[in-house]
Amino acid sequence: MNVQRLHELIDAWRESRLTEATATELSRVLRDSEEARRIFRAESQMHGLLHQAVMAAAMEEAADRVAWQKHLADPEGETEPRPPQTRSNSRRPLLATAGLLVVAAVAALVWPFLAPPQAEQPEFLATLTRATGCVWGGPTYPEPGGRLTAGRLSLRQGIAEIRLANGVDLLLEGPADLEIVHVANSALHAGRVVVRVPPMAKGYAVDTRTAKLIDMGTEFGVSVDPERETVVQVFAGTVVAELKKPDPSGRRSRRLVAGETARIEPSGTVELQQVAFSHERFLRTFSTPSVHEGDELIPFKPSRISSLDVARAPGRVTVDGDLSEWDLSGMFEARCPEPFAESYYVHGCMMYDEQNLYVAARVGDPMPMRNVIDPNTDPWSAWMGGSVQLRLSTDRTLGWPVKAMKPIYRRDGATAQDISDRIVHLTLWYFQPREQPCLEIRYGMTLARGVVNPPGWQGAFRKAPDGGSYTVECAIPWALLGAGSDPPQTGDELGLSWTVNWSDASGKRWKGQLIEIKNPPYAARGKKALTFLYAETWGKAVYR
Amino acid sequence: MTDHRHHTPNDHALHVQQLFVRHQQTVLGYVLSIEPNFADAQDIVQEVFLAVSRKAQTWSAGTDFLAWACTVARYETLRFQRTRGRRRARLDEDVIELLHGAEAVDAVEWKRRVDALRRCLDRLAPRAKELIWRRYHAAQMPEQIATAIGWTANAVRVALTRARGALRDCMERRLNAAGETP
Repeated sequence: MNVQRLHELIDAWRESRLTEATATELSRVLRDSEEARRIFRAESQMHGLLHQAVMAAAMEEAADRVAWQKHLADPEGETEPRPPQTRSNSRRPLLATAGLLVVAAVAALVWPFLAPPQAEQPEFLATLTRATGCVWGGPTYPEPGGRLTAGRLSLRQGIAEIRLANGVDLLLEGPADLEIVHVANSALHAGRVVVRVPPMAKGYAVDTRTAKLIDMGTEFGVSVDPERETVVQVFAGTVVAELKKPDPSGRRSRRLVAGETARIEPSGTVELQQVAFSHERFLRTFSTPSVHEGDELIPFKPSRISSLDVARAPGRVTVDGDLSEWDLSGMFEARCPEPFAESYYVHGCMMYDEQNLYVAARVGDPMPMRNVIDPNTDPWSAWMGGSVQLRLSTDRTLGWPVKAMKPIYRRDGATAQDISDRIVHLTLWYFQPREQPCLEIRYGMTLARGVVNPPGWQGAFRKAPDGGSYTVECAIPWALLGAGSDPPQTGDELGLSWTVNWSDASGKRWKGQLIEIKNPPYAARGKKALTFLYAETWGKAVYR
Repeated sequence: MTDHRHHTPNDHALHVQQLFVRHQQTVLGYVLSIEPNFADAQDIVQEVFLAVSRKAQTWSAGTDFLAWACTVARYETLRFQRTRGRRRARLDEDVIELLHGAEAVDAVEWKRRVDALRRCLDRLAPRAKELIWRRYHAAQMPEQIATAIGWTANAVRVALTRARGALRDCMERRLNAAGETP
């Protein structure tokens, strides 16, 4: 047994980067050697123990801070009698023996009675665990991994994930103004935040101008708009909204359960379910990171698929976003790498008949169909707001791989293939402001000529009920693809590549992409070969 | 005298949930020893909570709650890996069974180890402590840590390995020392 190699494999296991090959290798080593299993057990147990110990340390720091502040606020407290309902230091032995849960719960109870944090004694309450596209307005400019003290965070744009010492996760969507008051309480002055509260931190509260929203073990979103109106939406569990002013019926609190929304106005008026529950209102999943490399765009992962079978349409196709009449035998699946595989993926399929090319895809997207880029004014940029793109050849004389590229990359000028109108680039997107399916077609490797939403094409988008994916279905006449008189036939193998683009919540800022169906030598990204500009990198469509 | 806490099935279920919440961190630590990804492990613990709530009647008061909860957690973890985690390369099932099949979690021993490690964290050099903090509190991967502090990812891995080694040695010393004290 090679111990050094075993530790390398354990590192890969710990960081979730085992490949099929290394998982097989590690399995074999562990199966064959009791000593290897002993080492693995020790390392894997250490992984769990360390996480627990570090979380305990974080909570102890927070608890110490309570005691320290309490001492500052009330140095005589230990000797003075107190009414029974107040928390006295006589509970400290209980905290010491009853474990961290009780520390957290009691700390959450006593915090509201304490003095505000002292600037000269900064204590860390939270960690900025992830950030993407963040522009901070100051006075704090945190970096991912940086620890946060009590205070105000002004996020002008981007998405920030903050983990409090008690395990509460806050997903802040810019622009937003959030104040971390302590581990048991934040104040949202403007913007949106989604709060996930583990059972041990039950009671966590978000303050707004109109209400205090108290968690009862749940996930909920809160938004505060410029008029100081609060909208709360409960995704799971229960939230109690304590109103700053009694509502017109005199009630001071409302209980909200999963699936409910409430709008709370500065006047105290509470409107339950007047704001429709919408998965899109809040960003609940951390967005994909940008994958810019210099000025170039790079695919998310190496391609694994080199060809796609295009089946003959079994009958009449109704373009409605329902694929029940489709022959899905050629469907491919591709996913972004972890940790995004669960949410960012595509199932793609194509069919054909004498009149049309049919394209369908189910796209995993936590922010589906938000594209706000107008087909009438800026179709060239539409891909950035979330889209499905296909590059394909409809000319069997070009063969495969297709030896065409953007002419500026050639020393001796464009070839006939480079400017062929039978090489087409399709971009499909859903223009959210008009709820309009859109198609742009660009021709040749110059991409100089194009049409937008041409007559004859049909498209439909359908969002999944859970708001986590969408289906796009379309029919495009061969005439629009340069092949009206000579559509592909059974046995043709023609160039094809798919790209799926995801945007952030704005529906216009590109956050990442996945490129699939590629010529195997180019399956791994080549820095000089941007897929869409070098047709030789494309995989192929096999027409059945 | 009647134990009024366990009068009804609902009381019993509530009691089980309270016990689970009390031991949640230990269950999470245990799950992490099978599923090392923090986000997945947290999702699994949520599933375990639901599972122990459903199966509350199968646990008898007076028996080892944590051992029972960890058995449920092991089952839920393996189920998670077979379904939601199936696209990630993973160890073969027979190997997981070899590693964890006959495992019973000793809650007292686990807590001793966590307490010892907790004290040992204070003895780490500041840089090592920062790395451990980033990795185990902020759940950053070595590449992210490397970017944040201007090291290479491999340098971070080496430093983390050393820090874990130092913590393990410290933990063992503390446990042995404690064992010698009556």
